[in-house]
Amino acid sequence: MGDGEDDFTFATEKQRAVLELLANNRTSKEIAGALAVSEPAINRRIEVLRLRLGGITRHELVRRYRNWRDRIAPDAGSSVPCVENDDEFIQLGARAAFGKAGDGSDADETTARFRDSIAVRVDAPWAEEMPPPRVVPGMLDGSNAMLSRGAAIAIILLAILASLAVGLGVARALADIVNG
Amino acid sequence: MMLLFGAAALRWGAAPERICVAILSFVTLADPVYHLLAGHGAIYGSVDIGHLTFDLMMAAGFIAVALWANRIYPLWLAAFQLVSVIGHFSRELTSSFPKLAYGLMIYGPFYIILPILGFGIWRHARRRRRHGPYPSWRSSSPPSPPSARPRPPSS
Repeated sequence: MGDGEDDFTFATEKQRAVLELLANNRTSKEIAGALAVSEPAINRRIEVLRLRLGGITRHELVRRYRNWRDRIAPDAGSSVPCVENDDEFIQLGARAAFGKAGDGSDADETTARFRDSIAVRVDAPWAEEMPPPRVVPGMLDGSNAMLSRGAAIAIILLAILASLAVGLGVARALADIVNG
Repeated sequence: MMLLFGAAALRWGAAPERICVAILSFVTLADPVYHLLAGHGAIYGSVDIGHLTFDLMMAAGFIAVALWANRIYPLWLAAFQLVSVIGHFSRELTSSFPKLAYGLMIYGPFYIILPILGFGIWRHARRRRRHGPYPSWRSSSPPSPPSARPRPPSS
């Protein structure tokens, strides 16, 4: 998956606001609180974006959006929609401030450089998007779906005809008994 | 009845539900027009070409939806509609074919299809409420297992 294949110019203002907050590792609930929108509405916007990009995961959506944002405007962190912070959340600065190579001296360093002592996962496991509901059994989906579905229709059809034949046979037998 | 189904499909259904309701609505409206133009009622002695044409069109529509939709119930719609299509030829095969069986095969499926479609619309609305939007049509390949999905970088 190339990073250059994604383009988020199609995203609306509302979707862009959600993406920005997602890129800041906010959960749906936090985004809903920040934008004063219901959580299902936020999930719907994310779902629309995920489907638009081919049913990718939430994490992948965030990764692609960050890459695209960094590509079109490396300092785009400053364009994050103005959102009031809750007391327990801290608004982090732009990612572009990190990872800049330096010689260790403070003279030319305009930004601080930090490194975590331990690796921490970007997304919490519980924050991952749930997969879409499985409506059709796996047997009726996939590359042989046409064949298996056609067979399913034929089996149901035969079962209906057999039931009809049995039911009529029973009805006729009962009629014969009643009529003597 | 069809108005109710149409309203339900527009309000709570997705593309497969709307297509199925559109097929049923078309036939419901076209049948009286056919009788008006043909100038006779239903034909019981031989194959009724007009009704057979309608039933074949419905079957083709339901089968198309059943093959491509991300749903189970269109399989049942297609199967019941095919029962109706087969019923048209039963009189040609044998003259002693019971009238009851003929009536059941020709007219019965329509009244079974309606509740199945209603059930399908209800199940779709419930899934959408619980899980949010999901694809109406099947994908060309099965979804990836959870282990194959991309993971966040470990470092």
